[in-house]
Formats: sequence, C-alpha cells, structure tokens
Amino acid sequence: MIDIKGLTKVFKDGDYNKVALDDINLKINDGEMVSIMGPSGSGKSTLLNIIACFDDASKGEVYINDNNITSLKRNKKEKFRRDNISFIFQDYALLENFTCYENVELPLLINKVRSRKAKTLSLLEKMNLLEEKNKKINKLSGGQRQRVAIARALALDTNLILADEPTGALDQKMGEEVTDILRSINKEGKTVIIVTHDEKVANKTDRIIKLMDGKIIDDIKNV
Amino acid sequence: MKKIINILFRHKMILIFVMIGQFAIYISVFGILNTLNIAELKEKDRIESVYKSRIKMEIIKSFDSSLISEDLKNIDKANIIITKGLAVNYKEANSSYIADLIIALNEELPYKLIEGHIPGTDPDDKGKNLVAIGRDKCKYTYEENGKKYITLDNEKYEVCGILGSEYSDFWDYKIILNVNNIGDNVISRINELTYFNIEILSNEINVSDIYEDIYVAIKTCNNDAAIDSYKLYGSGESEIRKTLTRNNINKKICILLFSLCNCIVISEFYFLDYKKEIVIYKILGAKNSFIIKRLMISFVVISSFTLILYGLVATLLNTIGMNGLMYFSVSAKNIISMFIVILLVTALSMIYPYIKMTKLNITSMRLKE
Repeated sequence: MIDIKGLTKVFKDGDYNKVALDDINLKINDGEMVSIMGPSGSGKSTLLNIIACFDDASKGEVYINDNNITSLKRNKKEKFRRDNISFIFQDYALLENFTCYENVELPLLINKVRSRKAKTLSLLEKMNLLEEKNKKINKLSGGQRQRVAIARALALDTNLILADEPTGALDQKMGEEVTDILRSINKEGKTVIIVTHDEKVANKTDRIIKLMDGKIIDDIKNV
Repeated sequence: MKKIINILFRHKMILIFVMIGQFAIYISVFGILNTLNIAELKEKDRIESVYKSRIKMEIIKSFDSSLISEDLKNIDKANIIITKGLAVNYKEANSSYIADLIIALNEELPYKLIEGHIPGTDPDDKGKNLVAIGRDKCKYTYEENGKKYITLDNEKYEVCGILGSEYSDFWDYKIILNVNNIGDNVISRINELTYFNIEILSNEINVSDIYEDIYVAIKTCNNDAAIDSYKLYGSGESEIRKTLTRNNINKKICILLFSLCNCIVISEFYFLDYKKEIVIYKILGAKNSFIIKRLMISFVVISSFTLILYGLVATLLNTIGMNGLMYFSVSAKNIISMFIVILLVTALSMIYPYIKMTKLNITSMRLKE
C-alpha cells in the first residue's frame, strides 16, 4: 500500500519558490490501477518522481509497504527502487542502438539475475515481440517500443509500476493497446499508477486522481 | 565479437575522436620507448668499448713540435690512442671530424666492425694510407677499382674497415687512424696539436705499470709538454642523458602529457554522448560501479583496437620505407609499457565521467513539468 501524508515539494529558483505539491494526502491500495490527471505544471509528474524515489520531498512522508521512503538515504532509496518499483516513460527511455532483447534483459543484467534468457524471452512473448527480439529499437514503431518498455518494466517482478504518460507519444489505437496491456498487468496483482492527460486512458483505471496547482482537487472511483 | 563491435561502434563520431586521441598517445609513447631503447643500446655499446684499466693523459705542448717518438710507438704493452684533440678535414663530407689515432697497438681493439679491419691490424697494411670509418661517414666515400676511398687533409685514404653496431649508432660517426698508416699531412696536423688527450688502455695489464715508460717517451721527445694524468675507473660517464637530449626526449614527453590531457577532454564529450544511456542505466537501478565498469571495458577494448591499428599502420609505413614516422616493435618492455599506458588512459578517461555520473540528477533530466 502507498500512504502519502502531508507531501509538499517546493522547487527553488533563485529567490522564487515554486510549490509543485502542496500538502498531498493520498492512499493507494495494493493491486489498484490509478490514474493521475491534471494540466501541465499541476505536479503529477513530481508526485510520480517522489513515489519512484527519483526525487526528495520538501515536507511530508511517503510510505510504500510501510517503508518511509522519504527518510531513506540516497543509496538505500536506489536499492528500494530497484527492488520494488518499475517505471514506464512517455519517451520509452530505451537504448536506441540495442536490440529488443538486450533492452528487456538490461534490468536483469544490472541486478545480476541468473537464467536471464528464459525470463527475457517469456516477457517478449508476453508482449508479442518475439519476432522482433533481434531488431534494434530504432527500427520499431512507437507502440512496439512502448511494449518493449513495458516488458522491461516487468523484468524484475516489482509490484509497483509507475507510468508517466505512457500513451503520450502514441496514436489512439496504439495508446489503447498499451492501456490494455497495463490493465492486464494490473489484473495480475500489480499496482499501476499512470500519469496521463488522456481521459480515455484514465477511464480504464480504477480510480482517477485530479491535481491542480499541486493540490488534489478530485479523487473519483471509476465504476 | 559482433556484439562487442556493435556496442563499441554505436557512437561512431566520438569513437573516431577517441581513437585519434589514442593514436597520438601511441605515437608519443612508442617514440619515447624507441628513444629510451636507442639510449640504452648505445650505452651498452659504449660500456662494451671501455677497457678495464685506463689512464688519460691531458697534454699541452707547443705548436709544431713532434710528440710521437719511436719509443712511444714501440711500447709493447697495452694500446695507446689519441682520443681527443685530433681533427682531420674530410673533404668529401666538407667538414672536419675528430679522429682516434692509434699510436701503439698491442691488444685486441674493442671497435665493432661491420666489414674490413682496423688500420694496422693486417700485415698487408704497411705503407698504405688507411682509415676505418663509421657507417654514417660511409656515404661520403668514393670508389675506385672496387675499393672505397676518402680524402683526409688532402690525402687519399683507403677505407679498410667500416665501424658499426647491430644495436646502436655508437660507432657510426667514428674515424680511426693508425700512426703507421697516415700521410704527411696528418702527421703535420698531429705536430700542430697544442692540446689533446692520449689514453693508455688495457684489458690485460694494470696500465699504471707502464705509465712511467710512456711518460718518459713523451717527455724525451718534447720536454716542454705539460702532462696531467688521471686514472679512470668504472665504465666512465654515462651518455644516456646526452643521447636522450639529442633525441628531443623532453619535447616527446611534453607531447605525451598534452595527449594524455587531451584524452581527459575527449572523455567529456564521450560522457555527453553516453549521457542518455547512463541515465537509463541509473533509472533501471544500476550502481555507478556497474556503469563505470562498462565504460572502462569499452575504453580498454577501444584502446587495444587502436593499438592494433597503430601497429599495422606503423609496420606498413616501415615496410614501404617510411622509417622514423611511427615506431613500433614488439618486446616484453613495450608490451608492459603499452599495458600501463592503456590502463592510464582508461583511468584518466574515467575521471570526468565518474565525477559527472555521481552528480547526475535523474529527476532533472526526466522532469517534464
């Protein structure tokens, strides 16, 4: 479970302070699929970055499975992220000159997982990318790239998947395909948090949290 | 192999600059190694030419007075040689050179010859004007009836021997004469000497035992001559420093240092080119050690690849006769040196990426809002 208490994030720019998140209180249950919506600058990516341990909070606490990640030191934060969180980006964050296989294998390689081949191939098969396994990323379509990114995110079997506008760079059909994949991952028991501008994507999630000027203005359960 | 090549060559532009930088380092390093090698071999040849027992006599005498008496020539132990002060005019080379003049010859000479003999060492030499010259001086000879000749002090000398060593140029510039095989003009030149050195040299006896006889022989002939004598010990003063200076070692070291600094500068661009990749590694939870290890392996492989390329180019240039542009030789010393250089270059090239990587803020690079 993710439990966020009084989370505030202030960015300092010279004498000017910009409040990106203002006293956010939020609980996300295990196995939930949540979308975070809001206009640009509303703080949704900042919230995601703090949950992902990429960034520090200015104030407040974030608990993930009873671990207060805001109090962890940098090294421990990195280890916590490695063990518990996977991330999917709008721009895929894939190594362009590597093949699909190598990209999916990378987290396993970094974490010194043995029998990487079987795991990598099963993930590629799951994402329907087996035929493209030896193709370089720059030879793939946007949808295929995002599927590679999702396969990579699933490589370490983490329970929390964070997706920052995963359909932002895709056309409608591809976007729907990716959302369906994320939904199916969620049905396997993983918690999925998606930052999105797209109402169609949000409508496929269990819950929609709307942010405005760093504050939660709406928290709707999708029926 | 294909995978390694793919990984290394995916950033082609920066790779070219890295390889050019490393190429410059190899040129400098092999240039320096070659210079050191030359100096060491030359020193080895010099040491091998040193007699066990030696006395140097610094002589000052009046102009146009004889010094070499029959008594001196007839000394029957050790070798007696004028080693400093006698310069002869070498017409074909259009210059004057210092020559060694053998006055008495009773022991084997340490001179290294690539062909022929030293004047006065063959029974047929009697009555001829003969000279032995170093390999470098050979280019100024002329041939008659299949024999080489040069003109010293306007007299024709047959070149009876060519000096040279397999390993260095220590003997390449020498001119050796024998008092029994010189013409009148060189004899006059000797008589005109006012300051010169005579050395008494032996590998068989202690030259102190015959010093008095030689001193008396010189004084009998020229009573006014002032003689300062020194017994020489050990292998004499090392010429390594002189050889290194002559071969511009300081300039070569400066170029190497510049090239090494350059590799640090290039590593900045290397890091910039790999920045996106490094950010992705970090997002996926890679530790700095994992990333730096990959960069280091890349650098070691690139350095080794460049070294092979350098070796091929240098060998090709030497094969087509363009010697001296790039030096390359395979020896244990060179292999160890290159191994150290590769490690040093890799370590230097990792400084900037490592510092930058530890300070890399993933959030600022990913934050879009």
